[in-house]
Amino acid sequence: MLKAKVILVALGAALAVPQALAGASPEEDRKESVEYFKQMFPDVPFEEFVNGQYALNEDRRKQWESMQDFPPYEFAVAEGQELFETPFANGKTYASCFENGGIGIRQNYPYFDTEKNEVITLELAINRCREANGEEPLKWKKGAIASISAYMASTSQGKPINIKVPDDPEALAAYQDGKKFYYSRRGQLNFSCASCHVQNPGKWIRADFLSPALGQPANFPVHRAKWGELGTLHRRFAGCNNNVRAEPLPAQSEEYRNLEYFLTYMSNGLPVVGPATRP
Amino acid sequence: MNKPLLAIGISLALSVPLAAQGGPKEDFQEVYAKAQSTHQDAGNFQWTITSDRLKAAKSAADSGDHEKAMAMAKEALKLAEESVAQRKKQKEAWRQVAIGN
Amino acid sequence: MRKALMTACLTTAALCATAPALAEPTQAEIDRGKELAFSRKDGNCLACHKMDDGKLAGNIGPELVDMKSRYPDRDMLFKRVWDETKFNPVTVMPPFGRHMILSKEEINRIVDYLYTL
Repeated sequence: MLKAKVILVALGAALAVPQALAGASPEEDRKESVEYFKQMFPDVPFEEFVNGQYALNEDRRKQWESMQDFPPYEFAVAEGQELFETPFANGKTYASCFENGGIGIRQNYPYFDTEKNEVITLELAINRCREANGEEPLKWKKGAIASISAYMASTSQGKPINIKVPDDPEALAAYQDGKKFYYSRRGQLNFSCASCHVQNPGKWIRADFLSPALGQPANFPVHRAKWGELGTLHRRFAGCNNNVRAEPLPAQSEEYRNLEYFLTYMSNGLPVVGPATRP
Repeated sequence: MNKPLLAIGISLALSVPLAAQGGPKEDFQEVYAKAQSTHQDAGNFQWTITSDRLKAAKSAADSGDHEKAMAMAKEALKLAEESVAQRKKQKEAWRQVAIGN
Repeated sequence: MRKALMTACLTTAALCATAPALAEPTQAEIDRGKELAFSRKDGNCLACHKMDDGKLAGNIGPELVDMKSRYPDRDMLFKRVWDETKFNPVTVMPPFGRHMILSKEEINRIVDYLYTL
């Protein structure tokens, strides 16, 4: 069944929705998704998917490996640590807001808060922590928030992503909403996230090499050569939407948080490798 | 001369001064407002190009270039209508390539 | 000139059959088509298709060669650029005409150009 679907997508034929599978659980979705990418890239070990295009393209991988001695995000991680450890005006620190003092927890974000009925991303938690301690929130897409997030990710390196969709209709709705966003075509160019990262990973779109959906969120925040600095996942979402001429949504909007929830759930079991570099 | 022809003649005569005065401007306001509301109807499926055309229409109208303003507003409206159609279509069409449905 | 032919084509079935032969595009029209096909903000065909002397072409779609033999019916080629989703609902090719990325006239110039490949 799955193989047939892959082939159909490759051939660009119309797909009928298999009704028997309608309303699949997040875990069934994830398993089928992993299987889909395994069939598409049989030689790529599961854990390698976190490296995106570097897992699929030898030339790109060599360029990337040559950068690893002096990664361009090192300074930002050091800055993030300093910010993380500097007390707020009230004397408390970020550590007071997080489980285990905020060390080694990246793999649990985003999570669904069943009391507030919303998805909490790491960046949202960072700014809520600031506000709870009387500080102004940081800007969402780059700068200090990306550095703090990068530091927190660096303390979680190698830990398997562990996103949960609790048995709660609101949580499931948030997951479904993210999934629908991922597969919905948007913008004048009529592209969904999946148009590139499910239907065409491993291919070139002009001079850009398309990475697979599997593993994508594991390397955020990311230092892009194009940006010349670190940026958060929601900055990337906005950039992708803009590329297809769809009006980007605000960082940390409900839509983008739900999208992050779905996308990160799909990468469960893969190791955290953020911060990382990309072209 | 029969009555219908007379009526056409009168309305034609009237339409010239009307067009020269506030006519096209009001027409523009109508199309522009419709483009804006259709753009809103697209919800989170809005297109950047529609926003661009709306801005161009507004600035052309502000600088008195009514012809350009009207052309931009009409284009914005058509683009907005397509984005609304996309939003409606994707309510179900997103499943076409979704893994695990 | 072309418009006149189109009108003739619409009104007179007899003329229609001979129209394509009469409507041989000018070099200027072909050049314009290539410009539109290559430009990133217009067709940006190179994003997905290898074609002609285009640099850094993508490989999502098939290479654009032998277009005349692959699409002997000009109208069919036009329609597929206008809205490929009509023929293949899961294609990632943008519906250039329907979404107003390119005008009818622009797509016709691109088709003129594609027929030289």
